[in-house]
Amino acid sequence: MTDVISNSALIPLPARLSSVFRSLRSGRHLSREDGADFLDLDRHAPQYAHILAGLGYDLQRHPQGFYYLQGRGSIRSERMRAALLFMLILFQALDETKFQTDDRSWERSLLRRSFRVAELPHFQTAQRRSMMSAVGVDEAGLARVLQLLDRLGVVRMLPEAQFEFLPPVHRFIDLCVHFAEDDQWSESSEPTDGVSDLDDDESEGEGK
Amino acid sequence: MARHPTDFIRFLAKHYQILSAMCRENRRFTSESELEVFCGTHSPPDANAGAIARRLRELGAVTQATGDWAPPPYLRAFLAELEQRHALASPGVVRGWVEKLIDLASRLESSTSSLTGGDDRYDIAVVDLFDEITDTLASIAGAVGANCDRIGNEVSKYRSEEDATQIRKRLSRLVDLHASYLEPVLGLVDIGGDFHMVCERIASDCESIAQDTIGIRDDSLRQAAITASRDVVWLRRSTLRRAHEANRELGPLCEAAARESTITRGVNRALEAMANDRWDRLGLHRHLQVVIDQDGPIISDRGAKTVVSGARSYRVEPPPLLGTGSQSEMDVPWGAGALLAALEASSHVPDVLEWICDRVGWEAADGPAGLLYDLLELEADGFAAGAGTRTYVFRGVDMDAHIWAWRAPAHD
Repeated sequence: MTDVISNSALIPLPARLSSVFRSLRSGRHLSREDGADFLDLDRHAPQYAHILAGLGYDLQRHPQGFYYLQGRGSIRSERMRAALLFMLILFQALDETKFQTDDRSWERSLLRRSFRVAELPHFQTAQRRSMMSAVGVDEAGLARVLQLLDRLGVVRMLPEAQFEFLPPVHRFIDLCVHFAEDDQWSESSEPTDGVSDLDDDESEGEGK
Repeated sequence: MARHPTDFIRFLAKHYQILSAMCRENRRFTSESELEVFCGTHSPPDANAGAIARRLRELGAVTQATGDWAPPPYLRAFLAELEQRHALASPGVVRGWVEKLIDLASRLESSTSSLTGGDDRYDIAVVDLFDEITDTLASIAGAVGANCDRIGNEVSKYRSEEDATQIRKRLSRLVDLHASYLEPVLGLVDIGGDFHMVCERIASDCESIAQDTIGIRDDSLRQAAITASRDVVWLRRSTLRRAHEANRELGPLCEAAARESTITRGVNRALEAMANDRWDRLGLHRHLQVVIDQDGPIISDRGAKTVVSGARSYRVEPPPLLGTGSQSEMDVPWGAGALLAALEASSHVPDVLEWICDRVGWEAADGPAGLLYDLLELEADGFAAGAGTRTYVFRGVDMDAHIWAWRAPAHD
């Protein structure tokens, strides 16, 4: 984010700094659904960006209107992989069935609908089951993936084993667009020596 | 049985809807009765479905090539082409008309420059030019309008379709219509496009002619110029409006389709990489960074470095200035020590508080009273409280207090 606060100026601390800082540092993406925290962050975004930059954090505002901290995280790669696979399978299923809905598109209505955990497509075909199994998630483990996404502010859990997506889901959509628009994708068929996704695997709870 | 082409064409014209639906839905019929049922559902209620089905077979509109009855491939291809009627006025055709219009505009401009008025032959030639321009414009407006109607119909059909396969086909056709027809046509007719610019030129020339022919006895040329100018502006606006309407209807659909197609491509690529255990291709450490620093140190190494470098930069900076106004001297404020020294110079002071107030001022009681207490603490032996009290009048709040007197103590 652009830091518009001069280094030498003494700035008043935003009212919800403590709560916002705690949320952001725990990996949460703050969106309008976060209520007072989001409103304070949105109103005083330059101050927050300045203060957080002073502590070594890079506050990002996504065009879809949510905030998160950019930088290398300490989340376990396996958990992030499971979360990404969960999202990809869901996106794929939504695209396959979009013509059965009134909207005939899924992205625009993604934030308006809710999903029943029991009806998720992740274990409905052998291939998907096998992929989920490869990241260590079985049907019982789906709840843990959803808990992680809930903690990150990507989904909100609803009563009766349902959930809905929040605007930060667009980080995953952006990622898919990035994969699609990667001109080098087909050329990068050979693994790059020493640059494995697991190389960045850091155990949760460790410092940055 | 001999087949006559006229019979075939006449039958095709009369029962176009049946054959069109058959080809569009790619229908094959395992029995004649199934064909009859299909004819019955796609023909008016009073029509004889059995007779139509029989005639279809007799004329060769359906043939039994592989056991099933179905329209022959040539008929399918013909009807599929017919379904794509917008191709009859493709952007290339519209561009051709616009180029013709540009040529007509140039001819009109050269006519304007050599305008004399009163020459009948000349007048007729210019009026003919106006007619040709108006005809060409009407052709463009009509073609674009008709195609926009068709787009509107296609969008309505897409919205009302319930079969997923047909929806996909229709959406694909709509995307094609948007990309290969509407966008190029909008580029031509929109503000700044060739069509818009040539219309501006023609309207301007018409107005010049109308202006230059004021006062000429036979004003038919002037009237023709005014009419042509009005027609040009009206047709230009209506064409642009129709194209924009169609774009408003089709644009969001195509935009969503294109975006979701892109996302799905990305999803499929990523899933393929995952299935092949090629997580490195996804680069999650770069593209999906999530900071979770909950249990770590509050200030990271980078944060500490930032704070230290900030502190170092302050060291070389001068202290902040207090105000920018002119400087003035300030009286040294009275303290208890200074007052005591002054008191000691006097052997007796009957009212010490009054004496203090004379020196530090009568603004408020707090300051003098505080100084009196300080003096009492410093040299208690020299002070004695009187029996009575007195009201000390300050500018703020008055104060009642005992009268303290000073008598210099005898020091050895």
